[in-house]
Amino acid sequence: MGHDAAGLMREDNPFRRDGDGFAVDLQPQVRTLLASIATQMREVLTGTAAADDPAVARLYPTAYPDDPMRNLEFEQAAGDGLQRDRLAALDVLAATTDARRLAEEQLLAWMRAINDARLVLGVRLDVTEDMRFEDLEDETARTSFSTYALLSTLLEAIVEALGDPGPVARVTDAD
Amino acid sequence: MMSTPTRASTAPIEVERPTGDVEVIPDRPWIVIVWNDPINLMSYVTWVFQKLFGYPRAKAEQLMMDVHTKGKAVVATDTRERCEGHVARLHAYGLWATMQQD
Repeated sequence: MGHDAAGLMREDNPFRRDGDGFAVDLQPQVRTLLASIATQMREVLTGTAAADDPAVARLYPTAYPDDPMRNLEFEQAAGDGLQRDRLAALDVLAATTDARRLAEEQLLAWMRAINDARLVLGVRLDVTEDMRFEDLEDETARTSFSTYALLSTLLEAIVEALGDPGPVARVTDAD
Repeated sequence: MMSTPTRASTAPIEVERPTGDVEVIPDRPWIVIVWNDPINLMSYVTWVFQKLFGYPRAKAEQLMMDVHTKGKAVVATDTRERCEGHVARLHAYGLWATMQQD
């Protein structure tokens, strides 16, 4: 599991609970990066190469590793819904990268879109729990790792800002 | 398929029996396993366990630490149908989850 991200941003949490939503205080270049990531992630998820992309495969793990038939059924039943949810979260991120305030549902979409992007970048970089910027020699990999680290910092901040999820009823099968 | 011996006074009653190579034990519960990966953050995984299963933070953190240190943890025990729901939701949050019969 990844360790808590190093602080690449200012020390204060840029996400702060404000009434029934969240105030968002991010630098313009971070917002620009998020917009770019939303665009790139849409291409990754919907592009022609998605089916053969191990980074995309990481977003859809095998539910039944010992039972290919059941796994196929699972994928047929759940796959489209998962894809729709992911694209919907990306849409929210793309539409609100400049927002100074987010509703909780919007921040939850940010959280999922940002973590999906981390998963894709992480697989591409073949990250390890202890990977450090200095370990990378390739310039492209260094750029990707900087983005990955920034997204980790953002995710950490979002989780902290959200706080403990309230008590929920036992989840049902209804989707 | 095997059939029961036919009694003279009644119509034969056929009963499906296990054939021996397909063992069906419907009462055995299914388990959902979350596996360690180098990408998902510890705080995020804890939060997802709280959110999806309603676990108190202490239990969610313990499960997260089990995943982190032991490589995996059983996060839910339920019927197959419900476990599929759990797994789909865990996948939606980017966690590496599988399921199997206990």
